[in-house]
Amino acid sequence: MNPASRSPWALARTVIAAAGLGFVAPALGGACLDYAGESFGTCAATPSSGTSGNGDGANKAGSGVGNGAPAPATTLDCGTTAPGVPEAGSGSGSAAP
Amino acid sequence: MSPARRDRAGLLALGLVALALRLAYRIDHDEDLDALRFRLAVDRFDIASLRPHAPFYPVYIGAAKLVAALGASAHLALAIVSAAAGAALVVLTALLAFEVLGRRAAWIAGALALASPFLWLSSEKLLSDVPGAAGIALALWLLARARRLPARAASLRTSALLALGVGLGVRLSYFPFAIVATVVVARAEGGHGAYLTRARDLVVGVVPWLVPLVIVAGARPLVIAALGQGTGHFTRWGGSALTVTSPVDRLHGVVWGLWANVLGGAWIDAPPARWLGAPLLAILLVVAARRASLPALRRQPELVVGALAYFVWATLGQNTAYKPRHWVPLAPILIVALAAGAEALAARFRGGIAVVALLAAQWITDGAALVAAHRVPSPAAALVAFVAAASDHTPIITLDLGPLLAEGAPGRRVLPAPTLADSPPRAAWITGEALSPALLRQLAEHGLEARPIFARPRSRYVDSLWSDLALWDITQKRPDK
Repeated sequence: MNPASRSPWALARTVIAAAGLGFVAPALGGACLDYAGESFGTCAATPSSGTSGNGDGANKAGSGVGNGAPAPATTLDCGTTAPGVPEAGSGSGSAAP
Repeated sequence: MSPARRDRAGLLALGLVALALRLAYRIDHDEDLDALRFRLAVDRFDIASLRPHAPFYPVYIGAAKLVAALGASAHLALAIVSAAAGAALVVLTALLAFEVLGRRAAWIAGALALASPFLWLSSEKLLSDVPGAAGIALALWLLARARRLPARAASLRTSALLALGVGLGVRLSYFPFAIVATVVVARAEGGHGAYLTRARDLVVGVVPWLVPLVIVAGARPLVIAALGQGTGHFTRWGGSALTVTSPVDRLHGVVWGLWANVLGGAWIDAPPARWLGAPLLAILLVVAARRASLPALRRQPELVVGALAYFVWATLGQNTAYKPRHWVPLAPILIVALAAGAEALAARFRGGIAVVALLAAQWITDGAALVAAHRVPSPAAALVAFVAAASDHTPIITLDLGPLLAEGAPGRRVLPAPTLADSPPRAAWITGEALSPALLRQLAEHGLEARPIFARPRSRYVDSLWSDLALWDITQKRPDK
């Protein structure tokens, strides 16, 4: 083991890491278990927020069109889409006249 | 003046010039959806409303909030963070080259980093790519320095891992560098517990942003948003190999992204002047490749393996088919490679440095044109401004521009893109990314058509996505003349 790993600074790092993980792991782990215990399909507490990012450009930029195909239904991504809102394709191509 | 003092003065000048150039060409509009979400997050951080989107970028937003607290607008705060990080990235590229290749290569790399059109333009974007890449470059420099200065290696490596941990809060998608560095450092130090100790150091960099994030966002909303956005990234919008499945498109994206964007190389639709720089680039790359030996590469495993791991991840897990900005963290490494080629060339020919000077001149001219074009509102921003200024109240169908329209043209009725099961829309405007071939066919079957009514296209080297986005009007089909 490196001698530096026995210094006060190393001890402080161990304490910071342990305290941080001691807080974060139960908080996020508990939330995950809590969430997994519910029906993933309902997402009652999830706000609708629309999609994120600038699209995947499935129809490359400049192609003028999206693909228009209905997006595959998922249950885990309800945090990003208002329940009941129909979705269209994922293309982010653009369209210049 | 001693060489060390001259180096410091040179680095300071390099950083100041880079900062001034970046601040001079800053923008103050919402360029795209990601930039909008960052700007909204500076005003009010709320992950449930995707202010910003996952993975929430807490360090980046926190830095911008600090600048905003001094009185800057959200746009200006983000621009200052990007410009400062961009200037730091130029300096760090030179420092990295110094540790790996020596003093002359450092000057070459500094000059190329300052001139790089890709780094300059990326530093003008109100996005987290350049701040994240600056963190990676800082860590790689510290790790390379640790290899050169064994007496200080332990503390330098600790600093590098802390920087990588903090950097994950700037841009989580650069995680391959952090994992590789942790493993390589622990493996080099060996002994019992080295992996645990070095993983601890990475965690120490993560804790200062993750704990506040959990407290501010709440554990449950954080889990829900992260799961939803994470799943969405890989199944719908993220542009990973799961959604953009064509190997040809992905390979094209890799080559176009790295050559025509990161290196500013010639391409069929790129500025013609690039054909002057392309042979110089090719020469430097070939000479660098000939110089690179396996032992030399093995001397910098954090750099080489980290870059390779990131390349694989970005190729498969990011939207590299259409978004070259995911290559930003590789740009400093490629510039160091060019500097290696230039140095080898200069050792053989007196005119070797002239090659670098010519390339730098072509690059900075190219970069100035790109950042000047970038100051004009993007096609998406111009479209939103057009809608906001329009006097009629025609609803707008859109796929991806909803948040931009809601912010820029509040009060305008925005409709989601219809599915084919729906009846075709009538008397509506539609944004180009929502206009699919199937929808066009459906419109035609019902005697309707889409006519373009607004577009402000610009070079895809300024906007890789939505570069020619247009607004279309859905109307009754006019009889053919």
